[in-house]
Amino acid sequence: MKPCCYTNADLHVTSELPIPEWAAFESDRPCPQPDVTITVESGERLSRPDEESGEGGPPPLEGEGVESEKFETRLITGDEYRFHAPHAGEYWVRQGRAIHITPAPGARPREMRLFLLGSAWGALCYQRGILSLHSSVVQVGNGAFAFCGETGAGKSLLAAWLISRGHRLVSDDLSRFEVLPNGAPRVYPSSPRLKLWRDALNKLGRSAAGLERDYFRSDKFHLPLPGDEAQHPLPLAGIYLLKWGEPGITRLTGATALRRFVESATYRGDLLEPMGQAAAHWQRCAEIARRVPIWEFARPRDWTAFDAAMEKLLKHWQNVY
Amino acid sequence: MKTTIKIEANTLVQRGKDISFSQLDDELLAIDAQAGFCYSLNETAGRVWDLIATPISLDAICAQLGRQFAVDEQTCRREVTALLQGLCDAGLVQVAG
Repeated sequence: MKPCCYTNADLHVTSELPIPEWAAFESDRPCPQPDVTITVESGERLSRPDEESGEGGPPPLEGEGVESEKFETRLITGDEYRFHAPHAGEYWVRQGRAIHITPAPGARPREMRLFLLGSAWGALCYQRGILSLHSSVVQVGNGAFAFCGETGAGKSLLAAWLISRGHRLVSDDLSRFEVLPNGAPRVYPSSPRLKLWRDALNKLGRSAAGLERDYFRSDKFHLPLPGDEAQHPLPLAGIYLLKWGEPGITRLTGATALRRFVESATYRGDLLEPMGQAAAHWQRCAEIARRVPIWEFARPRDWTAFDAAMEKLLKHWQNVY
Repeated sequence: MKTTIKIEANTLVQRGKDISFSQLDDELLAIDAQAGFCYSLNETAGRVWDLIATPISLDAICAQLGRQFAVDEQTCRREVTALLQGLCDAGLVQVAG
C-alpha cells in the first residue's frame, strides 16, 4: 500500500497506516525526505478507514486513564519508547523520527490510530523537543486562546460553545505550542474534531445519532465540524486554566502560573522523567509563560450558570484583546 | 529522597543537581522538574542562589551578604541558616563534601 504523506505543523510525515484524522494535512505530493516515518509490520491487509462503521467492534473500555492501566511499557530511554497497547499492538517510537507498529492479531486501524495519535505521537514530540499540551484552542480575531485542563475539565465543551458562537476551532485535546526565534508564541492547528459527552451535545442542541463514539467512553462522541477550521498556526494571545468553582477569571503570575500551567496541561507527564525530558519540558512551558498571559478561569458545574460564566469570558476578551 | 541535614557554619552548600531556574514575571523560580514543583525565590533567596552556584560555606555567604546589605551579622546568619535549611529540606540545595 502506498504510504500517505502528511504535513503536520512543520513535519513531513509518511505513514503506512492511513490517518483520516489528519485529512486536512494530507498532501498529494510524495514526501521524499520525511521527518517522521510511520511503518506497520504486517502481512495482513489493513481495513481501509471507509470500511469501518461508526459503532460496533469491541465494546469501548470504561474508566479514567484506561490507556495507562492496560498498557505495558517495554522500554523507555531518552531515544526510545516501546509499549504494548491492548487490541492495537506493539509500538516502537525512535529518536523522534520513526514509529513502528506491529499490529496485534485482529487489530483494527481505528484502535491502532488511537495509540498512534496519543501515546506514540506524544512520546515522539518529547523526543523531538516539541511542546504538545492538553488544550483546546479557539481562534479569536487573528489570534488564538488556549484552554487547558485534564480530561474532565470541560475544555471541549467550552470550545464547542465558542464554535456555536462563530469562532473557529484551532485544536482540541492535544495542541502544539512553540515560541519562534523572534519570541512570538504560537499554536498549531490539529485534527478538526471535538470529543463531547452525550449530555453536552444535547445542551448544545445537537444529537448523538450517527456520530462516532469515543473509544474509551461509550457516552462520548466525536463531533465533526463545519470545515472552516484553522489551517495555519496562529499567534497565541492567552491561556486559560480551567477549574470548577464560582465564576471568575484570575490572572496568575510567577511560580503559581508556571506550576498550575504545567499541572493542567502536561500530556503523559509520567514519560518525562524516564525520557530525561522533565527539566526541558518545564523550561519550554516557562518560555510560553513568559510571553503569554495565563489566567485561571473558574466556572460552575451547574448548567444554568454556564452561559453566564462564558459571557464573562467573552467580556474578558474585549478588555484583553 | 530528602534527608534532614543540619546546616552549620562551615557546611558547604550548593545548588541541587537537576534544579534549573527561570525568570518569570518578577520572580526567580527554582524548578525541581523531577518532583514536579517550582519555588519562587525572593530577593534575598535569589542573592543566595547566585552565591551557591559553586560550593560555598554558610560563613562565606554571610560575609558576602554583609558586604552588600546593611544587616547585622546575627540577623543575617539566622535568616540565611533558616533559608538554607528550608531549601535543603525542599531538595533544592545539596550539601557538598
